[in-house]
Amino acid sequence: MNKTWRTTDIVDLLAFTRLDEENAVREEDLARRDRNICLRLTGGRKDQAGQAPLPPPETLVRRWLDIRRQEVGEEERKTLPGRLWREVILICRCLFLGGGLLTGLLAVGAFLAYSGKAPLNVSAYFALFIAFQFLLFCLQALLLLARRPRLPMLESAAGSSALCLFLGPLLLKAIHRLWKRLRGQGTAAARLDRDARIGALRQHREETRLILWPAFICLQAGGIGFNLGVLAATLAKVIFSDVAFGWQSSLQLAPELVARLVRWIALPWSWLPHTAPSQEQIEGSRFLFKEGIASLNSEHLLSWWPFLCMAVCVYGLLPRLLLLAFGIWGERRTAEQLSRNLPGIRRIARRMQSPRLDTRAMTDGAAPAAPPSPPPPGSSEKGASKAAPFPEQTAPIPRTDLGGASPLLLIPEELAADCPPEALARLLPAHLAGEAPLLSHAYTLAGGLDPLRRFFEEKASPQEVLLLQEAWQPPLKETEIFLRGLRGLLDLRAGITIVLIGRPGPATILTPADPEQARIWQQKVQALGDPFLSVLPLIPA
Amino acid sequence: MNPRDIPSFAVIGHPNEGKSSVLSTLAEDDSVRVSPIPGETVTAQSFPVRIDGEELIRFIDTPGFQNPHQTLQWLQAWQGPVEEMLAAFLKAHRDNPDFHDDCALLAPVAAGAGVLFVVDGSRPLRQVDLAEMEILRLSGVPRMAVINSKEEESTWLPQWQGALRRTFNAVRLFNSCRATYRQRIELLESLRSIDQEIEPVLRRVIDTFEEDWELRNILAAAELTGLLRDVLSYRRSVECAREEEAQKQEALLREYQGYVSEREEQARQSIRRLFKHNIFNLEMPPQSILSEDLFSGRTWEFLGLSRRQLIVAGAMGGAALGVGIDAATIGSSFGLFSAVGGLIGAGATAFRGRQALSGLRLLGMKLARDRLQVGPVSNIQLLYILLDRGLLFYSHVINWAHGRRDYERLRETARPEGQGFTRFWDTERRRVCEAFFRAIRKEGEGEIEDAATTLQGVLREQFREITAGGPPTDHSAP
Repeated sequence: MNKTWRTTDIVDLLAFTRLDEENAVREEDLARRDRNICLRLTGGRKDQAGQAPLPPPETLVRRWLDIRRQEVGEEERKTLPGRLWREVILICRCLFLGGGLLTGLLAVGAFLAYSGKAPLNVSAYFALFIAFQFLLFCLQALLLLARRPRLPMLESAAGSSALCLFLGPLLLKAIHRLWKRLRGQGTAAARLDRDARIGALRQHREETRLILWPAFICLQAGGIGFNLGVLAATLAKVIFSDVAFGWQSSLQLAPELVARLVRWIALPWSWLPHTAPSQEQIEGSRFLFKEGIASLNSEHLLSWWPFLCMAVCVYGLLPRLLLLAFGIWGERRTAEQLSRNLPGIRRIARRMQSPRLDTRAMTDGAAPAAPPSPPPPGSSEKGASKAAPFPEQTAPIPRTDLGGASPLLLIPEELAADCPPEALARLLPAHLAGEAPLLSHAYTLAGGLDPLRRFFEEKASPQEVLLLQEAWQPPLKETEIFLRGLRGLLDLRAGITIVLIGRPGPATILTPADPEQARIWQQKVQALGDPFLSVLPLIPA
Repeated sequence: MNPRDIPSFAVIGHPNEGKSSVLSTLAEDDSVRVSPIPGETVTAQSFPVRIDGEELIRFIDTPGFQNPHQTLQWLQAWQGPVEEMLAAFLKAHRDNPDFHDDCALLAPVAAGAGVLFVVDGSRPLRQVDLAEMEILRLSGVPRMAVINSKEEESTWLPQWQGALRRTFNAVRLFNSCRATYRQRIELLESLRSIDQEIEPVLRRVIDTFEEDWELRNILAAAELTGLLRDVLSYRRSVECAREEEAQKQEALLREYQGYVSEREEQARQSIRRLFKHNIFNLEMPPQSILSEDLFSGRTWEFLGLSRRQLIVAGAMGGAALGVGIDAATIGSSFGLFSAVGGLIGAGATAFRGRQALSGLRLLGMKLARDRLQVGPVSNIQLLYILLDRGLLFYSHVINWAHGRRDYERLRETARPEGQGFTRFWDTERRRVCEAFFRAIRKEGEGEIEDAATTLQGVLREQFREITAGGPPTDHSAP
């Protein structure tokens, strides 16, 4: 199976996760499905410790994606968004390439209209079709190199692109101004909804990179087409018609100076013979209106075109090819990065890696379910997919380290006495609770972040933090500030899950949260725009 | 009075505790935005209480605390004079957008307003609440706590009361969604405990509130009496050939019913406006008698006088025959309709069910010389039913707190009203009604005026009883 990630894979994966959200599949059902996929992939293989070795999360999820694709029908597979995406991008690239080609042909065709009275101006050709392009290339390269340092919470993936380097701050300022004006307008529900929508956009900012690189590649395709058009039109003119190139200047420029300049420009291809005019040819192709073209030597006038064509190749076409290669590399790198960083992927990986605890009573004579055997060789993929639902499994498979310590449970100090972490862990979904005992820590908003900072210094910074919260307490600004501070203490992509409970009952404080209050929390948290911050009611209402 | 010297009370608390709701009820202003979503109020808003254009006291609605812990820490760390503490806090945080709400709520306190600290007593007490209480204690301003239980839960009340009593001059229970007129007045009176110096001003305000309430009752009684007068004295005469009598009778009855509905609605709107309800429009649940057609069987079954009372009323009205027939048809009809007039000539069978509500019976329709004459109303039960509907509406309007916004919930949970009020009236009150009814039928202007004035007195008495609370009391008991 393929282990690499392409943009189309990311698009398909986003579509599948979106589908789960739209169908409101319950978390436990998702956990069961993904865990079963994982077990099917490992095929019951175990190492010496009796545990099945698991590949890295991104590889695991890549295989998950293959299986999900197989599960959809043949017809639906043709209309998967990734496939459509690839086709649209291909069409766009072709259109840009064709458009560039046509533009180059027409532009040079018009420029090289030679009547025989005066030679075509080499300087104008060079400035228009070579120098200007090269200048654009230099500017783009400069902008690509000068990347903005990334800021936590406000980090914009698009910030690495040249366009956003300038537009980003302006856009942010405009949004802030708009926000200030809108603040207080409308009902609380409308404001909450608006902030949540804006936050949701920010949560998905990583995914905007999927569009930026293809757009960049399209632009390069357009540039390549243009250069090819320029070359084709120039060569066609040279081969099929009579053209003459000369240079002009009102200044008393010494031909030696021009010759030296030409030599410098032609340095990259100086090893090629007859691709740059000699000093004598340069001197001989200087055109003065009062003397007319008749006095100039034809051989000198024809010595310029190889130079111009080579200049188009080296200063126009080659940089575009380099940028194209850079774009393709960037697109792949982005897909690889997203495969490691997208919250959806991390959630799937966690679900796949978390063993499902099954304590249901066995029916008479029934044996515990056996691990599923790998699909027999030669069985078709479609046939394998039809075997779903997969047999349930309880085989101990260790969780692959997602890059840090076990999850940390933060409990408000005032609730800590009534909330044993073990009781809470039992209620948590397996992919959040993990196998190891939860590491818990009491916190207060009054105490600020310093105690947590010290705690993190003593222990390893966790990759998953669960924050217990009573849903009936409205989310305050200080909660928001605390969450921002907590993000500052953690890895930028560490998961923070706010686990909601309801009003204390007579026997326990771990009661279901009111759905309306949970929705308010969901929206408030979404408004923060942190893609790795989520809300989860501990007990479904 | 200098605006700065006007006693002010800032309504302060945690977000979503019902501050705006308390204020809306207290100020009888249903335009205050109230929402179950926290953060509805984002700026402080003043609600002045003016008497004859003079502002006497002012309530200020504020946003909820957003950074209680940090605010408390800052105040605790303050080294300067206590009286400058809040001003310094505001100065230090006014440009910090995170502290926008905290500054907005503490600004009136810094300007010397007393504090009404609103908490939701139906939820547990938490550290964040203690932090807010401590902030107010440190501020040193006069303060009172109002426990506004948003739900029926009372488990946490003792916990709240214990904590609040340690920090506040007074603690009051006040349900902003259920508070009656009397409870509002009591809350206002208890503001004296915040600041004894405002006693004279507060007394004046409360007296004016009570006078205003009495005036509203007078106007409501006049409105209801006017409705009765118009509806009962309705009269019409149209040309009618003998062969189209039945058709014309039906058309006239429909016209009359339309008129009564419109007039009743008009009276309701007037009463609603008197009690400053702009949003609340008493869209009653389907099972409510108030939402029933006035002429429906159900309305006549539940409202108005009982059968026995009606027989007595009929006897007093001199329709002895009707009473006799009515008594003979018990069980098979709305025996309530012991028609005062128009009974003579009708057979005992005519007293069945729906026929009792017919135009012929109700409006005493008769054909004379090719003219069909209708009205005035011949059945006194209509007077009692209209009175009951008016009194029920009044009861709903005055008991619907301005801060309450769950109109949909009312539709879902409201129960039928059951019986009205007039059934429990004593003979004396009923005699007033009968005198009014007789005067209307006689059409003697002077007599109607006198009877109407007496009836208004009875209605105001009933209004006071409704305002005092509780279900209709049985005055008819010996």
